[in-house]
Amino acid sequence: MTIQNGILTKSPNSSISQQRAFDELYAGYWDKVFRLCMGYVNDDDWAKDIAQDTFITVWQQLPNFRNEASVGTWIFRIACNNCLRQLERSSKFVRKEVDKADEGPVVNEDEVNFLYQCIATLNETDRLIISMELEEVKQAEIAAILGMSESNVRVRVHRIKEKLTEKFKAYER
Amino acid sequence: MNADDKFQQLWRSKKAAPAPDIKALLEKAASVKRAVKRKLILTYALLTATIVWACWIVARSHPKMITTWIGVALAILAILLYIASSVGLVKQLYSKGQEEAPVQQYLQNMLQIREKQRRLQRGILNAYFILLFSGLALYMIEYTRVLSAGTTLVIYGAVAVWGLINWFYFRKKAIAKQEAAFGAVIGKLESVIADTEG
Repeated sequence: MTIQNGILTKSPNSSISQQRAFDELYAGYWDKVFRLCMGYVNDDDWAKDIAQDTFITVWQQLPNFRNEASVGTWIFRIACNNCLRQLERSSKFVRKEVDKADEGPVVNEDEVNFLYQCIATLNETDRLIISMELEEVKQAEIAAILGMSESNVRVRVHRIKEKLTEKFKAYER
Repeated sequence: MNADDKFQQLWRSKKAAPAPDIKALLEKAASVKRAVKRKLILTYALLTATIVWACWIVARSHPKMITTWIGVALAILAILLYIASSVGLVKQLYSKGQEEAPVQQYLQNMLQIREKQRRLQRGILNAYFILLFSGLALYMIEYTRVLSAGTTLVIYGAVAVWGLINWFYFRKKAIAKQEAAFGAVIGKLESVIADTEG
């Protein structure tokens, strides 16, 4: 198994090459997946847990991976599903930073945290859309991952960015 | 710098938590598997112990009437059902790895699982109370035969009152608790599905 331009090719020496391919994916995608999860839950430990679960699935399913999508799209899809699985942990589903972000300027918080707080105020789908958009996943791929139309994704990205820009303007004032 | 670039830059400036060591990650995967296996073994041990215990009780009292045996069998069935549902066997029955499915399909699948679980849990709860009390009523026939009609009436009356309290209070309370938990999750799933379809 080797990865070239997002395409996974299988080789006969499977277990060693699977380990190698996984190492490569793990090194290349950990930060991206972690940020996607952070965009969804805005909690470092929780995001780390979801990212770990995502890579466990990647490890388990890698031998069955068919190149129907690029390996990146596949990983993001698993990550999105793992994020959405958190809906079942309803009691833990708190957006503790939301109120803060809504109150206006946040004191002693840097802009990076403010961006993640603002994203936390969005609904579930929008959080995933903007996280992947900022991760530079193509809109066509975002649409395919979420099962939405590309035009819908485009419109929503535009609206979300408008919302974020407004919040940042208020924050900077 | 325009807003797009700024957001992108801020987004990427977020310091990612260090990636856990691959060995530790794979160990976590293995330990989750082991925990599931342990839980399953424990469940089977509990179920077996329950059956053995019930058989031992019955064997000691040497029942002669068929109603006593049927009563015991019904009570055992009720307890088995209760244990199976309380340890999450029902959930395991339906949970299959779907993490790779497209998001909408994954959500639909999650929704279906929860709805099935909701129906099944409710059915199990009803069956539990019906089986337990009808089992008890049948079991008591043999031992109340030797008592006077008045005493038998009092005993059956007490059991009936206790059964009604269970049915109309404890069962209702348990169902309400289940409904609240399932309702919250199902509601959220439905709203996200509607959002991705919109």
